[in-house]
Amino acid sequence: MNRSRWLRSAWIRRVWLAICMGPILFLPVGCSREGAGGSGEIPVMVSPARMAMNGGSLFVSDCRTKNIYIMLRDDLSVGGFFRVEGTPLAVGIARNRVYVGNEATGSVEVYSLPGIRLSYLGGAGGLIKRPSDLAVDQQADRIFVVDGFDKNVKVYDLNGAAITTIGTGTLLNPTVVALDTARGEVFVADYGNVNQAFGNPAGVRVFDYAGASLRTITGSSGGFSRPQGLAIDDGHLFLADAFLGQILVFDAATGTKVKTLGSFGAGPGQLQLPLDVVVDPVTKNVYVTNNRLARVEVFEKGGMVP
Amino acid sequence: MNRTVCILAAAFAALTASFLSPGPVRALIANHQCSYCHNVHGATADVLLNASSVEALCLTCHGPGGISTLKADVHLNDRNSNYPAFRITCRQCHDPHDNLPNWVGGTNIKTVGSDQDGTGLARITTPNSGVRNVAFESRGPDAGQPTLHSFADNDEDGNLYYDGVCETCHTLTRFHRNNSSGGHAHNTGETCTRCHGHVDNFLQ
Repeated sequence: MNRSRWLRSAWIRRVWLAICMGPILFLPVGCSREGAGGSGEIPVMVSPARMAMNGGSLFVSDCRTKNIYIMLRDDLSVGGFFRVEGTPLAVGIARNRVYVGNEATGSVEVYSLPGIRLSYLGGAGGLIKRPSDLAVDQQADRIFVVDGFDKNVKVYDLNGAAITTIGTGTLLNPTVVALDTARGEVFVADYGNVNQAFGNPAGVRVFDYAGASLRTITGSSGGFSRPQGLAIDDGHLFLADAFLGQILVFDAATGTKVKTLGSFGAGPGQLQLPLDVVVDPVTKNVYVTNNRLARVEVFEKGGMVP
Repeated sequence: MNRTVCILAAAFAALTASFLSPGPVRALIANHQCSYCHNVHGATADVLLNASSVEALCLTCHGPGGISTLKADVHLNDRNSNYPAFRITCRQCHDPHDNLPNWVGGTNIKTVGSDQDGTGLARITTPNSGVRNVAFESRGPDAGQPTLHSFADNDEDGNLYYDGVCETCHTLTRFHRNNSSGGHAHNTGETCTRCHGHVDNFLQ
């Protein structure tokens, strides 16, 4: 019996997931532990958006079903979920806490791994008006949150104390953020000025952790216009373009495009409205939330760059 | 020199757009420049678009994680409804290029309706009732939302034609069908999307 078939058994899968994620050991699969959650079968994922990887698990937000799904990285089966009241979008994990950007409440909510809301990053209600994405550097004790309303990136420590704000006045329509933790760089995708008469206003702006602007990879040179997912791996920037339905891979230092993954369509390996990308640093598999097709796409060894 | 080339390219794009979309493009220009959706030089698909569906294009801004505050999703049927499964997508109700005049003499808002038959009036090709007029106007303040006639007007103008943006298609709903049958008094004057959110597939 191969491993993936073995994992298909719901109970065995549950045990496997519990082994992979000790803190979730006592969470019955499909049981919601947030304040107003439901119970029973795992609801079908319909609109996967942002994603974060934690060991052997992928945490995927779905603002239509209002759940955070916990998927097993190896076979993409859904092992559990917890409900978030509002509009969950951004998601990140550090120190056995799940950080969820809730657009409806204008806050980043902090959950325990079984899905119990513990606190709010920086305080409750409206401080981060449109938290559309976040990225965590656990070692540096920093969490970076894109606020699409204030058009900046707010920086906190993992206990929720505000540290600084990045990109105010520079960012025009920021969407997502990714970190190069080795180099201490913050990559922020920006749709740019949508009323710009000519040319392609999109770009990826790069800052250091203190907020100093370092460089920009422009959409016109990089061939993207709707950057909706960023990941950094081994000095390469992976960018999901929601318009193209493609993942573009750049040299993160020079902005030179080195390869692409996927194409627009509905078949295996094809994308419609990709909204986030994650690279497994060990296997080099690339995971993409394929929003219109309601699934997570995996490009095996897609992170390998010649 | 470069400026001249750009101006010529823009003129070409506008000319192309005028053939593709017979209506004017005022609403588009007011909110988005042409080049924000159409790629003059690098388009990989028809009508100067890239290889993406129009639905995906709209949702890059109006979908999850998009930069617009006006969030939307496609129209799906309620599992308890009388309709067989359906999926109504953006262009079936909206013409992104402009707001068109409607048949009762006003001008629609939110780019609802498109020129289906060369009349220049806002109409929708409905699933069960052929091409129908649609009127969707702002009728007074309601927290910035259009009200009354705009969504479901209980035949406010007394012309025996139910042309609200929701009701012009509906034939099997419990309330607000496009004819006089069924109930037309359900929350008349309210904004339908307050309960049946556009972002929630128009379901409750």
